[in-house]
Amino acid sequence: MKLPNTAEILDQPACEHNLSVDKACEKPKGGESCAFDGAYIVLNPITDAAHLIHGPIACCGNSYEGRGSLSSGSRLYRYGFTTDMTEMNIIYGSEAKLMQAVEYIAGRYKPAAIFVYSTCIPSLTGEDVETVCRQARAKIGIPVIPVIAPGFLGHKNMGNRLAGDVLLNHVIGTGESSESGVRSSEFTINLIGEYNIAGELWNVLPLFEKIGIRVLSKITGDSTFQEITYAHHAKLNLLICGRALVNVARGMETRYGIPFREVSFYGIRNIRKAIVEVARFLQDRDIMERADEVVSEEEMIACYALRDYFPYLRGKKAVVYTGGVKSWSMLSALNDLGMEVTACGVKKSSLSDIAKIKDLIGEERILKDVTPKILLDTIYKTKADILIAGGRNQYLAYKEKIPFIDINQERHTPYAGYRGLVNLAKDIAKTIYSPVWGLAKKELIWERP
Amino acid sequence: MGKTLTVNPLKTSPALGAAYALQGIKGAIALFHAAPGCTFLGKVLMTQHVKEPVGLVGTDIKEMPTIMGGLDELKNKILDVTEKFKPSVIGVIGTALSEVRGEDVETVMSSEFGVGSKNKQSKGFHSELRTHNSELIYIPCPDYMGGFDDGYAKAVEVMLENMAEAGPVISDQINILPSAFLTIGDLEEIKETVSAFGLKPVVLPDLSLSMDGSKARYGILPLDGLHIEEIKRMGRAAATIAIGKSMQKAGEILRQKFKTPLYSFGGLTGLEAMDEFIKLLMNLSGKDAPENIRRWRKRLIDGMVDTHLIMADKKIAIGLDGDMPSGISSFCREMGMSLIADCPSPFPLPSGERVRERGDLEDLEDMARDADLLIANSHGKEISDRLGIPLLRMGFPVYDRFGETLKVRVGYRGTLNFLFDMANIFQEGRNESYHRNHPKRQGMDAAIHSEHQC
Repeated sequence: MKLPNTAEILDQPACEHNLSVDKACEKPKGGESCAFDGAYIVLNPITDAAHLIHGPIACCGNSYEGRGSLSSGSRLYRYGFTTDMTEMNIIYGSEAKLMQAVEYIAGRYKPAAIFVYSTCIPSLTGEDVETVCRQARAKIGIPVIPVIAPGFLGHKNMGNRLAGDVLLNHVIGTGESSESGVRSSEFTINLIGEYNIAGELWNVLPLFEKIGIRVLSKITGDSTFQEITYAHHAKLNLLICGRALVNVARGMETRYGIPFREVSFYGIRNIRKAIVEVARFLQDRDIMERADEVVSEEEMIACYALRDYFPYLRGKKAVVYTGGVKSWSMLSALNDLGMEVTACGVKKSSLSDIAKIKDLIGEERILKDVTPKILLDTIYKTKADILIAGGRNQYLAYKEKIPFIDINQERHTPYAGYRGLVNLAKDIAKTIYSPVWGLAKKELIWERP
Repeated sequence: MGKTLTVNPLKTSPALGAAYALQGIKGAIALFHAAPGCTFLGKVLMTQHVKEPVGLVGTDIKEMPTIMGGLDELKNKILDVTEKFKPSVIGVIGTALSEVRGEDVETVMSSEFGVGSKNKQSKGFHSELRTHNSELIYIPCPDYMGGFDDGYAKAVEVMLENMAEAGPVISDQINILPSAFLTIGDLEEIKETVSAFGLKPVVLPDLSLSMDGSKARYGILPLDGLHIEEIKRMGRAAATIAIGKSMQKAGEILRQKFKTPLYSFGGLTGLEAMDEFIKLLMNLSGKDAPENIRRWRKRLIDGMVDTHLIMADKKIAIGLDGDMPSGISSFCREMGMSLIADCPSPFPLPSGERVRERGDLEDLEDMARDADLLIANSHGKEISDRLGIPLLRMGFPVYDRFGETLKVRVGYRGTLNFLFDMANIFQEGRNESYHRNHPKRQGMDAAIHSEHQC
């Protein structure tokens, strides 16, 4: 089995910095997950596929059901399938075991496809997962797709890209137009890098529907395997999280001539920008008019819902630390709410994300290195009212009695779309104005003089 | 076709269990010698369970070290962690990746850091460790051997092996070695009970001091917990009480090295188990059971009588990891309930009851179709939804409930809490026709109904 060439994966011509000396998109800076997890994150939201993790217990046992991607259909994606390798499997090999596992899943669960993840141990012992997958496919008659993503290949982002390559090479383009039912006159787009965390997609899809644009394939939030196979029939790709899946957008441009635009659905201005950009691209008068109507109407509804929160949020200061698309679009959403971002951590952002952040808040507010200590110091120094970050920093904030909201993969509230922005405003107001903080800092009765 | 895979595992990794044990030692830090995901995913899961910062870092080995060896990374990380956190203990945890690669961690630790030489002033002992007085231990926990409780037990064994010291017996000191799946609330209850007899409990590890929510400021290391000095004194206790089969071996270490008498319990939930435990404490202390404990026993009996009718014919499907099921199940039997169990370490069941050893939730789902209650970790939620059977969450991980770590299910009082939790679910089911709404049950209810009309 050949391990993927990591240098090639990181070398993405679509990244602006490839013009500069720094060739690698992403230099992992620690504190992030591994390539296996990155690949799993991207592919797991394909709801009617089975995701079989070939490795010892840690890879699956510590991570399945770990992310908040929701489904409107099959729940098969939530199953944790693993070969749970034992010492004997490592010594004597486990290709036969893997084959049996694939057959078992196919027989009992009837998945649309099976993704087989090769993790550190089988990659190290040299198991030929690709051949097993090929033989299994011939045997059971559904796609059995190898995902060679051992954790030691790199950090999460490396895995995201590996999964992107898997989609390009094994899934996209394998579906027929008869399956997609796309008419040539239809306005079709794909969403790339949106995982339907907390159901965020469901705040976005109705907008396109109202305008008369068909979202053909969601890559991969709340998707079916089949819809991704015919993604190449769309007219335009919307790249939601560029850091994760720029290679998919880029690859589809080269292979199928489908252009892409990087957009975000966090915040009023970003949503308008995204919708207008799509409508303009499709170059249809009706679409453009309807887009304007829908956006204006939705903005009005959102502003009406937000009016109670504006006075409470105006001028409140936030420190933001997230990655990918949210690192810049969240700043804009907070601006929409009248808030000020006093600092933004960019450790998990790509260079193009950082360029956008610079434009929004200025270079001096960028935190290049982020450690718990730096975050805390910054919050205190800039007198921030709230920390907006991922779940791992939740207890950093809570222990220090600092208001906090989680905007990463474990969150339970959708913040994308117009309704999402209202949720965001509500959650920020709820935490900042909670009576709990006052009580938590109350003087101890037994320490009074 | 035979099943060769695990579907919806109950198991989590042994390395994570070892890291969890270290959280109960003041100032300790766990260091995974692993690829980045092992550390990251483990940390996320544990944080979701305990809802506290967790002291866990990793060497994040990548492609080159995987091929060429990652001992330099390990050495540098140990020095880095020592300097940055000044930990009391650095627990280097070997994972599948480092073990399969055959990393000779122990040699590096003895040659570079002088581990094994008792004299810290000796030349071999690294100056950085000496400055901060940090203990360095190695806990091999390859993922392909065992689960959470095995790694946890291994960490306790290694700590006792390396740190416990001989000396004159401290007559009132009782070592407590609690199983990985006892909650922080359970530990607190056990400590209170032992203290009520005038004995001094030393709990290894003591998560009730570090992961209980009392941490008032941020820090990744446990700000409190069992002190290193106390671990050293564990060689001098009057007795050791191991709770859970997985802790037996750690207790044996103390017995063999220091001749400390060892008493073992499967669990401390249920009347019989608690009576045995109290009898032991009476013997060890030479004191009678305090009034308060006697009163809780009376309350428990009263509660058992009050609830027996609703409990008696219930089928409980238990999907729990490690030695947790044995304590829970023995109490369920005391209440006349029947068990359907699916656990990696099986325990004997009376005839007619079903048990399998695979330890995954798919098997449990197949076996539990006619159960009245599921007891499992948070992954049981999907099964509960599909089968329309209520779920009582416990074990690891429980990430979708608040307060799980402070729940008490041991002792007379804890057993009573646990009993009432179950009884109220059944009561709710009776009143709110929990089962009647489930399609499978509708036919049965109609049959019962027509019977009554005759």
